[in-house]
Amino acid sequence: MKTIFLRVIKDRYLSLIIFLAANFGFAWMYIGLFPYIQSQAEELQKLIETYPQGFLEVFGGNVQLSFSHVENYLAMEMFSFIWPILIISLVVGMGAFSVAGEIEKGTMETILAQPISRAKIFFAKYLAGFFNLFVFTTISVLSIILLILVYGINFQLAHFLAIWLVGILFSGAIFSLASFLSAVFSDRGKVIFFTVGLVVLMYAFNILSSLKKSVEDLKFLSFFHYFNPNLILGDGKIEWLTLVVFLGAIILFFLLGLIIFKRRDISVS
Amino acid sequence: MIAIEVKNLIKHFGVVKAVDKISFKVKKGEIFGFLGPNGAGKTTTIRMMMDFIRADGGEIKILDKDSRFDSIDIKQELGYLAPQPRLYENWTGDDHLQFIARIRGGMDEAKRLIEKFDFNPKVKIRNLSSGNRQKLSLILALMSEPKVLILDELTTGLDPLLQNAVYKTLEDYKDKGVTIFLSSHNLPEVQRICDRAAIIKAGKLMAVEDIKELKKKHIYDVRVFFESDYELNDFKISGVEIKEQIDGNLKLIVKGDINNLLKILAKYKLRDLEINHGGLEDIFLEFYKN
Repeated sequence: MKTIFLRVIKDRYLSLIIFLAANFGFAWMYIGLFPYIQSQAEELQKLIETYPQGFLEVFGGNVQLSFSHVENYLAMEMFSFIWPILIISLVVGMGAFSVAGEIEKGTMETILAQPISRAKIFFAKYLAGFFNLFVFTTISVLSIILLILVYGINFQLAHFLAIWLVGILFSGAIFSLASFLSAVFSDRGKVIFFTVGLVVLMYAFNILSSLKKSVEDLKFLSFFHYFNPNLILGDGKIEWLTLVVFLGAIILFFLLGLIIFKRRDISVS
Repeated sequence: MIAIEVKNLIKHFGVVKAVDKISFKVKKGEIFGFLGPNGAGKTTTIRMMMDFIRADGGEIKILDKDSRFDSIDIKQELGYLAPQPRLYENWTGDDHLQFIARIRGGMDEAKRLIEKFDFNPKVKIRNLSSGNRQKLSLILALMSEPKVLILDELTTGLDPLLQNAVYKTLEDYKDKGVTIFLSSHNLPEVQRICDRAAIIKAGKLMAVEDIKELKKKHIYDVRVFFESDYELNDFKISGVEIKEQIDGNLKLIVKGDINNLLKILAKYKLRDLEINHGGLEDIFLEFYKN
């Protein structure tokens, strides 16, 4: 199991570095702009207050939002958009390759021919993927803190710890979903299509629920309702339901993936 | 002693009966051929033996263990070669060898095989020829010195010289008591190295034959060049099939005893006569005729 785990880490480190570099580049851009944004905070706040309430809610904002604090600024500019795109791209790619990609390329036969149980193969690959998302989330948040320190901006460490923790759980839930679908399908394209499709659907549910009272409850089906950077990074709050939903999704999709991978026929073409 | 026992094995893919109640036994230390054309059910059977896919019925025992429930124990003693090399394009040969060695050992044997097959393990897979990929796959299957080898299309992509080296290696393994299950549609290969062979067609087992016995099922390809006219009805006898009739020449296929035909030919004056032994391929095709 350790051999498979280490091999996955070795095979994925380059893409991890590329994603971390991209994250660092965006973080540098946003934090570099922050002193100017902060000086214009009052004007921006007035401008934002002129926006329709529904429009702000679509983007996870609220009228009390202030750009005078770096946490609020990063919550809206980076953690509501760029960071989720990066982490979703990373974890969906990893999840899709973990099983379906190996079946598609035929290399799964090489692993299955070894005296290792299917449960250990799945677990080793899952663990390696989870380790990578942990590394990405940790280094991305640490690099943001480092840039904030370099620019001499005041910040609340607890707020960043909160977004780090929920970020791991949020990306872990999507990774588990991708791993489950990877155990179901035999090609990466389908895994990526269905995982991204479900994530987009959840995003749409979250927007729709904020726009229409009649479908308000749809938000509970969306990971984006629970991953609310304005609340987590802006206010430093984590709701219990957020932890329960993400942990539940991680465990549920992992177990479903494991059961399917153990039972299914695996024949490479 | 039985190394592999397949009993009433069934596998359906929807309405297609890929494997339909096949049964056979492979003795310990023998090289057993598994013959059949593409789509006959050879690879499906092997995938069930390897527990990649699960049977809809029947059972497989390898070294007295159930291939499904004792799969991990079996794989400790089993080497497998896939029909096409399934390797990681970004890894080198060495990466593959280290990966397998960490799981089940065998680096010393791997080094011996690298030398024997003249393989360069430092090159990335994407830069390897199909023959070299096949060499590496074979080394990976053999390096842990398994008691049972399951080889699906062994010599695909190998040049004749290397094929001979591989056959010699398999014979050495056989001498050490290793059981070899060889799936192939390369009949000369099976004829050369196998002790027995099972013949599979459309998911059904047609026969399990001793290779020596199989070869005894003579088939002759006969060409007769007559000096004068002949009576075609003379040749419509049991075991003789008239294939072609051109300008006083007759092409015949004889199955079994040729003496009856020779007696008839003795009545005629011939310009020439060619008699060739049919290969295993002709014998094999006979099984498929019906």
